[in-house]
Amino acid sequence: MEILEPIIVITLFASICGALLGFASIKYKTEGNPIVEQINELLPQTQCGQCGHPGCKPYAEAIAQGEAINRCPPGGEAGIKALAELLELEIIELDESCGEETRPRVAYIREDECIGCTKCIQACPVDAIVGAAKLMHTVILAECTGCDLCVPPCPVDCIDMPFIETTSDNWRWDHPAKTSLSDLEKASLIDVKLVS
Amino acid sequence: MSDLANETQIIKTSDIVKHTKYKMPGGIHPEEYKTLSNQSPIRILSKANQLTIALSNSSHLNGELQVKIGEVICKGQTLFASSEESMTNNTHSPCNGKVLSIDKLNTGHPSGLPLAAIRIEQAIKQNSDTEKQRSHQNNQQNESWVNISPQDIINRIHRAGIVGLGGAAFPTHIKLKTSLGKVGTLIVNAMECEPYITCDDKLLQEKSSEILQGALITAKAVGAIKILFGIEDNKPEAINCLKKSISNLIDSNLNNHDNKNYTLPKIEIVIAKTKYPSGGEKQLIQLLTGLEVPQGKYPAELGMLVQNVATLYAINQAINHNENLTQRLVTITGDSVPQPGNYWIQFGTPIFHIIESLKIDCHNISHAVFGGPLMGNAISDFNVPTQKSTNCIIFDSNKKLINNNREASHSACIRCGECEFVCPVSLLPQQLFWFSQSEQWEQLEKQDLFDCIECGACTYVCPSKIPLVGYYRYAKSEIKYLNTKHKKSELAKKRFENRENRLARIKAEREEKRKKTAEARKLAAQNKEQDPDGKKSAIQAALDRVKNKKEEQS
Amino acid sequence: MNLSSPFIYNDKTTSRVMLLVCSALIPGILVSFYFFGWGTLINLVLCSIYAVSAEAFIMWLRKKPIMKALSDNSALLTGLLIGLSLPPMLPWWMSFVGVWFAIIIAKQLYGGLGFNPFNPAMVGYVLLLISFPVEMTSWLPSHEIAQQHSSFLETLQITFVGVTNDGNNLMSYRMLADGFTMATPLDESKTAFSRGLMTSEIVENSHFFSNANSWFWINISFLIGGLFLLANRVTHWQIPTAMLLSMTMTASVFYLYDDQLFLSPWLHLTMGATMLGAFFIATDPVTAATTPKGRIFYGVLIGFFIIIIRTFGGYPDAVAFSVLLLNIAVPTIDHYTKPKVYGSQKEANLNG
Repeated sequence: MEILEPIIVITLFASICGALLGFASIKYKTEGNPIVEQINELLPQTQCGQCGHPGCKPYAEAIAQGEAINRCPPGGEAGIKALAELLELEIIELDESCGEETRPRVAYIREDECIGCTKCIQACPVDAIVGAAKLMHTVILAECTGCDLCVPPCPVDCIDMPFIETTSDNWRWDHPAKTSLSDLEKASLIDVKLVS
Repeated sequence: MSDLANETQIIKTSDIVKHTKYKMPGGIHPEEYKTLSNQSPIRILSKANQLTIALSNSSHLNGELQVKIGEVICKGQTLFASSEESMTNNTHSPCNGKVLSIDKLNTGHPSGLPLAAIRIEQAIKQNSDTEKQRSHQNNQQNESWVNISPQDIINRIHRAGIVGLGGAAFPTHIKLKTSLGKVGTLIVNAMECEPYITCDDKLLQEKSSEILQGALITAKAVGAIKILFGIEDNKPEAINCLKKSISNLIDSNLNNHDNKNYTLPKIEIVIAKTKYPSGGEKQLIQLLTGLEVPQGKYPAELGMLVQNVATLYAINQAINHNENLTQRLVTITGDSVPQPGNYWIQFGTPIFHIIESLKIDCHNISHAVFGGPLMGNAISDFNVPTQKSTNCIIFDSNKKLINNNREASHSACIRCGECEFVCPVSLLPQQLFWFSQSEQWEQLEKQDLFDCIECGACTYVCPSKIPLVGYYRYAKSEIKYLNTKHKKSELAKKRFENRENRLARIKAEREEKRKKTAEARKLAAQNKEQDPDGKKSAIQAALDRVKNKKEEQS
Repeated sequence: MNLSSPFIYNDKTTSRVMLLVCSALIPGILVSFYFFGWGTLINLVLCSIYAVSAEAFIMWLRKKPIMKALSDNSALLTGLLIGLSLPPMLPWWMSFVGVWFAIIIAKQLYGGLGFNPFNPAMVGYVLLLISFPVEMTSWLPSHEIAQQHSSFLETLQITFVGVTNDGNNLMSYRMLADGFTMATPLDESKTAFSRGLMTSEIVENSHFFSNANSWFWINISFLIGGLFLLANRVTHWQIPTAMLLSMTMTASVFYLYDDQLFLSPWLHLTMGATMLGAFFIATDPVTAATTPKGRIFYGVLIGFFIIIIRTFGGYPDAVAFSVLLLNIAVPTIDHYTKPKVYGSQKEANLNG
């Protein structure tokens, strides 16, 4: 039975490998699901809920379970591309039903009209609004992610969502292939003046 | 160079003038176009009716306005006083006149965005009294700079509003302060390597002793003991004038025994072969000394300080003549200029005034180039004024100058590698281009994208006419933007997590409290069962009190 | 969003560079025509037409501007290089297959000019060599020793139909005066070595010598074209110099070991496609190494492999195989020969 020798050798080899793998899977087991952390790193952390989940981490967990990667408008095209690269999926268009990608915005409370009800403070997912009951509320611009969640609760509708102004400090060079004369005109769009 | 050898001096020429033995890698030799503007003497441009003085290139202004709208001002008066640490610099009025407005205007920033600027109406008719410049500095006018402390020199430079006049406009006082005590060699940048520009050349020819004085003052301010003048070999007259001034200085110093507490630094002129971009700060240091500034660090790490000749001239005017910086020498050149040359131009002079004054033919020109053709800025709005950083304006009807950039779609990169042969920083521009095209930001940082000095040598040689520097600028600003965005999202994540924790904690506390209350209620209900009137517990409580008293007494 | 500097360019353009390379081929083309007759020219014209038509066709399919793609002259150059590598009187449909494969699959499918990792001309040539080994190694002898010379009409007939009016086919023109047929000198020497002949016997054969002489002149004329390119700074010196020096050194090692079992370095340098390869094929910018040091490694290794494959491999000439082999290695070579960036050492160079 010449076949016996190879069978024994291969079985032995397979058993050793199997044992090593089993050992490694127990000893080097990772806590939690690291892919969720990696996905979360790529999300913009706006915590706006436009994807249908209450925050970015839940959406990251959903993506790890197989949810579509194109539900995040603040992340935009760049975000979808980064997620597609990480998870080796196809790049798809942003799901319009979740919202559209816009230039970054911030919340701005018109202080004359604020009644100090704290509803917006409770709504803000990153605690970017300073204030207390019956006292003035104001948005800390550097902390605001532009998620929009403070606007619906406000009973007097005193919150604006202007675009962040392009100044000579945060201005970006355009892609060379896109440079054209009409872009020179677009460059000077200014919205609400903010001191950032 | 033969006339140098014929001079007989006490000081040997070879002691002062040397040729560098070091080399700069890469580099190109574009057509120089210097003879367009360096054949005529320096002239003064006529005064404009209105000046637009830019206050800063940033939207952050750190300092205080010193004038109001409608105020009558005089030449040299401080318009804006910046704080010492800020990058904004002191700005002064170049003329007598009136403040028309304080506004946001297009002052020539590459973005085209409006920035803070003061518009002044210039009083053209002036009598000799008002011509006198009112000095807002202290009155140590007659004291020789030799006796002023380095810190004082630096303060005066700050107050005079002096910035680097080689093109970058970095506040000089900050540069000097960070070099204090570290610097042994002052390198004077007289290379002027970019085509068309000749203002440093002419300044050296006509004002070499003032520049030399400026160099000595700066050397004193930082404690340098050696001064190297770096200059290209296409400026023989400038080299001659400088050499004469240095010889005179050394002669007079040998004969002058008054200043015993001052030692003259060792001064040398080092000549390098003409090549672009040998005038870049880091490239110049490599060319003159063979040393390389470590990545991410400044020349002060190597004990060196680099200053442009125009800056040194301004320093001399500030320290020795108490003049604030209000004008500079600008090369006006190009084939549309009937009289190209170098002109003293007040800051804030709009382009249209220069065009009218010099009768420049503009009907073929869509953009004027501020600076040189390789690193300058193309400006289409002729209301834009000259600023401290404007060392040259090119009015070229040559279509080649601008039209190449309009070509939004260029040929494919054929990977010829010409760009890699000419990069002065020894980068791989081809790789930078491929990664910029495919937006691989991490790879770009690994290829040292941020070491690129944007000199344009690679773009100059590209046979496919790819706007390489345009891609690098785009990539750099995208990477910076993404880094800022990432930091912001990290912060938002932390704040969100903190908030979640806080809410969870509050919830847990409430839960605790509710539990405790519920338990207490339960306990009370139990007690009520066993002791409906509460008499039993009252008796027990009384007995406990007596027991405790007894224990205390014993 | 403003125009970015710089605003001046030098006047070298891609199309001009490619055109200069095409014109540098002219001396070699003329000399080949002198020695091998009309077949050379017909091949060149056919291959150029095939190349340009293939490129136009693909650009039309890809919906890209056709004239812009054709005006960079890269397709024309590929066509010329393949045409020069093919034996005269090769059937027209074989060159068609080779050129269309080269342009469409080896160049356009990767993304077009600048995106292909392999030299398209060499891919086309190797495809033909492996698929039609007999026809691809049926070179004509030089006209000095050939028994029959073909006229223009006869050459056309052989290329398109296979026979002439008089009933001659390719074999008729390959015969020498005494009835022998002869291939290229490299092919000849390989066969002779395998039959046990010594080098001196091979090279002293008068037919071999005459044939070798024609190839010598062809190589010289390509060398002249190559030097013209160097003088005009179209090519950099690193690749050709490294390749030729490396070939000399490698061949010398073998030749010094036993000068009867191996060909001399001189023969290696003057036979086959050596000079064409050194100045026109290995220097193809898209597929060659790009860093200055990398180019030297690239050239050295190509030269080394040419000698090795010629001596020990199954095919007589090895320029195509070596170039393709090194094309694979280019990314690695480039990665490991990155120049030191200004200021990147931890300690600055303090030697002054």
